[in-house]
Amino acid sequence: MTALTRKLLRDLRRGPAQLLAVVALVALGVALYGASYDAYRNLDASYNAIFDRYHFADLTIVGGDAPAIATEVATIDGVATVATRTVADTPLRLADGKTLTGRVIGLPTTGQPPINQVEVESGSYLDPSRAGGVLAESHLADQADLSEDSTVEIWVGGTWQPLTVLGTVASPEYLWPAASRQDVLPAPGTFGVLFVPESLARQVLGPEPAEATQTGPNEVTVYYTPAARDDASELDARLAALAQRHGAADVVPRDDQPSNATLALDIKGFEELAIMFPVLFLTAAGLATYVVLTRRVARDRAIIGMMRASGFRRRTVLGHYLTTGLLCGLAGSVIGVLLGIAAAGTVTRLYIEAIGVPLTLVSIRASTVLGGLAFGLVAGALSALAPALAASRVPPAEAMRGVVPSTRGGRGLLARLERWIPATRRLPAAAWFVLRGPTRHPRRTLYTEIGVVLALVLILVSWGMLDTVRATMARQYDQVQRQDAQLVLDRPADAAILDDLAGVPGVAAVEPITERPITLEAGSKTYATALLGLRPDTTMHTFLDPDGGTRPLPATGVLLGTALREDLGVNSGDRVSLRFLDGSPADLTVAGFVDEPLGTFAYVSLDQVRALDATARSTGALVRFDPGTDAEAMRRALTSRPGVVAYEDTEALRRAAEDFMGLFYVFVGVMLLFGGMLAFTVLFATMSVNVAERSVEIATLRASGVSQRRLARLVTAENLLLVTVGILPGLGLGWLATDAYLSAFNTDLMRFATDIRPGTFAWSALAVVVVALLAQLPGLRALGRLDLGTVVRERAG
Amino acid sequence: MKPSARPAQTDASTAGDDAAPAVELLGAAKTYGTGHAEVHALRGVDLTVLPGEMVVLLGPSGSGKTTLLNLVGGIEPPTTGRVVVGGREITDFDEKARTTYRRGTVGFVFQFFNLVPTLTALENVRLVAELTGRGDRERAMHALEDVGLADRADHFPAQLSGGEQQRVAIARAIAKDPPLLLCDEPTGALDLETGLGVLRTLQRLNRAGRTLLVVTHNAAIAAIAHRVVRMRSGEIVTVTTTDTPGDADEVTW
Ligand SMILES: Nc1ncnc2c1ncn2[C@@H]1O[C@H](COP(=O)(O)OP(=O)(O)OP(=O)(O)O)[C@@H](O)[C@H]1O
Ligand SMILES: [Mg+2]
Repeated sequence: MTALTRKLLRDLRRGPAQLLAVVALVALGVALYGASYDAYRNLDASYNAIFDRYHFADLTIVGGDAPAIATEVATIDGVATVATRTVADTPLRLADGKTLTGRVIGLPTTGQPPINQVEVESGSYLDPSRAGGVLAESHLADQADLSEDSTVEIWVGGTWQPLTVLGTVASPEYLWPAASRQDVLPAPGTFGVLFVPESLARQVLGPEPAEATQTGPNEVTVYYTPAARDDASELDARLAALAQRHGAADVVPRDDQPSNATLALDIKGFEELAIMFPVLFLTAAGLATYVVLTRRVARDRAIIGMMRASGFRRRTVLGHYLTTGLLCGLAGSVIGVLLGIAAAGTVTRLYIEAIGVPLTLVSIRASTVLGGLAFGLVAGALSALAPALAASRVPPAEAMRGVVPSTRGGRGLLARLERWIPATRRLPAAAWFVLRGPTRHPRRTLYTEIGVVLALVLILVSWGMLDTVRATMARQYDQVQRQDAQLVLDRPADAAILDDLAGVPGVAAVEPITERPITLEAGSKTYATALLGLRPDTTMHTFLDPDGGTRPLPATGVLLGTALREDLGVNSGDRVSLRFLDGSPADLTVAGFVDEPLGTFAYVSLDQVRALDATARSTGALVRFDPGTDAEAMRRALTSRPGVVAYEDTEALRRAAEDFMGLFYVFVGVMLLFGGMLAFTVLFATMSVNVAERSVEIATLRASGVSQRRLARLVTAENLLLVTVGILPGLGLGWLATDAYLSAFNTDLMRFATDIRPGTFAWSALAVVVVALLAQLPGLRALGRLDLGTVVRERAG
Repeated sequence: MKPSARPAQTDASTAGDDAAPAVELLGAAKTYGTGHAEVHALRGVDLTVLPGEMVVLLGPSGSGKTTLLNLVGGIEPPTTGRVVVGGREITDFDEKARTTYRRGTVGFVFQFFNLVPTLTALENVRLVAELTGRGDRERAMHALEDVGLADRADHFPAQLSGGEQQRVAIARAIAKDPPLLLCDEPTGALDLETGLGVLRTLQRLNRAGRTLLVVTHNAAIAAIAHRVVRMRSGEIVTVTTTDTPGDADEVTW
């Protein structure tokens, strides 16, 4: 080993804490990149493996002449398999009397269907000899505690029919138990899926009252060849057109399948993190590297001058300092890659366990490893470049000059300030001490500020997201939906039954509601959702204008969720056509848009629903309770009324949404931790450099009688000044980043309006200040150890 | 210009071998800065140093001693005039050529030692010697023996006294065996006793045949030099020559 290499390695160990801070930042950035990116890819791979294994449908066609569609689809190129089945929603009653929205899906009793197969997790598959035997989907089984031989009842043809559970199953269609695309956050206990013999499913579906001709299958599932899947959208469009010719009401490609679409949001979240995390941390690592190396170069000027005077070439010096940055980057990225691999596996498993996916694929990907290494090395090299170039430009004459003050006296900001505002000259010396530090190295000060800003961004994004999600929930359940419960009735919601329900003690108001699945069409664009019919003077629903106000439900025309302005390309006054599941179309004028957090629906007055579809009957009721009533007592009282077959508790929905956020709290906690670590390391690096650089000045002050405590106070004041300056821009940028991050999740299913509580800003700022105070502790302790003797002797060496 | 290129007008071609100057400054001037900030650090000096000579530069602070050393050592080019070292004109060398020149021809001893704190005495010596392929342990040890520090080879600078540090710096300068040794106030940071020790070392090196150019504030060092050059305001005021320089052991400060 050459003496130069030895110098390089030993120099690394000199003031290792600062370099370790750099290594830690790189490691965190790379680890978070690896963890989020691999988690994203693990999940993606797991889902795809599941889809392959269970032949998850590439396209599902709802309604229309299913057998005819199936026959024709089978002849199309790129279609591997076609199947038909019957799916119907009907109230479901558990052994304890609780009711929920049930969905029955027909399966062949003789064996797995060719498409959308199920994984039997306990018990056994359907049995041709057991007509009343069904399979419970695993989420329903978990919530309702169903297992082999449990019994449930479904509402068929006007009566409750008892069924026996033969087994519990997982399905690729219900990895996430979403009832529909509009209802991706179903509360546990409000929605459940049963896989039943196809004949039973047809029985549940029953003859359509209008046509009363056919009780055949109502869905066609299509499975593509791998080649066709690679370019699915073209085949999707072709099959959709075909299906529509046969009167299909809705065509759902794999990407829009409710469960898959919801999980895709989470995957997208990981993907976003895989960009945001490394960007924040590697930027911070870059700043820290720059600050630390710049200081090292300043400290080593005389040595560098000596090397140059002795005949070392410029590029040797350049390489020397560049290598320092590269080594930090390398160390950080190796540690980061290892941490990332471990974390990715853990995150994937935890996540998949929480969701209950039957298959997990965790693998280490060369591309992620190489990407992580490259990130770290590039961050190290890039940020070392400027200091290394500065080092290579140190003139050899520097070696002849001995100690050269590294500050540019008189040209600084303060000198100018002093000239412009003469009064500042009367400031006490302590104030000058506090002010001079940050103005002496404007670039380092700037980088410290950027560190503060980055940390605040990270903290605020996580905290702000939590606030916004909470505010969004509050908007949905306090402002938009005003009912305490929604009932499904087995008869039209006429005056008699509404009066009866209103008479139940504790009920403050009752209103009818009609809910019909529809497909909206405008031009070539379509959108599947639900048409909700309410009284024009309804008190159960508040229609929020996109401009912020509220509006009543118009007597004529339809109110659309604001996402449809883009998704359908329509505006107020335009005509949209809507198609019911049985295929009958109708035209309506868009009366306006509503801005609602969850889902994108179409709202009309009840009279209009009747005008559109003579067969439509209100079979739902919305109920609001008197203040202070017991929700459980109300459930018992209302479900025991004649005609009430299912009951959905708003409070339960809300609780479910909040439970769902449990994961979120963990996530936010982790993000806060990382934000704190980022702030700590960046501030630690810059502050310790700050103290180290002024060691002579500080030691001289100590020697001339300034107490260590007073010095500590001055340094603290200086650091606080630095942090305070960064707080406002940090909070502002944090808000913008939160907004940008959340808007990535804004879809027709969920809309977040960034809403951060004032307290959150205050707490975030405080957190950064506290972290800063912690980060300066090592530097302050170093203050105590400084004495003029060693400082000067080190200089001479 | 390539470092190996020899200018035609080199004095070495006309004078006898022994008399070929080691260093020649011909009207060398150095001006720093421009306009109001212009400083004439050196105002056109002529100086010839013979091989094996020990020349001491004396003068008050700011008189241009270090500047002169910088020109001879190829650290900076002169603003006007010429610098010829060992028969080679280095005046117009570019940065790269000057680096090569410094590497092969000059050994520097700095006032503030400039030892690398993370390297031992021996490693400090080898660091520079490696540049010319003379970085092997034996040779470096030999250089340390030359300055009487063989027993401190594995000590770090912080474990050495000021005089010892300066002697390591001298060993570092001579390990690559340069024909020319340039010392800028080698005793400036040292007390009397250690300063004398360094002086003895320098004299021994000179007696072994090396050409030395030593800058100092201290007139006492002049006693051991062949020639004493006194400077003031960037000019050479007097040059005193002695054929029998005193012995470092008898110098009084
Ligand atoms: N890089 C520079 N830029 C501007 N002026 C310079 C520079 N280097 C030296 N000078 C000026 O040139 C003059 C001569 O400097 P030099 O260092 O040669 O003096 P010196 O004789 O070595 O003094 P000392 O004994 O104090 O070291 C001084 O006035 C000095 O201020
Ligand atoms: Mg000088």
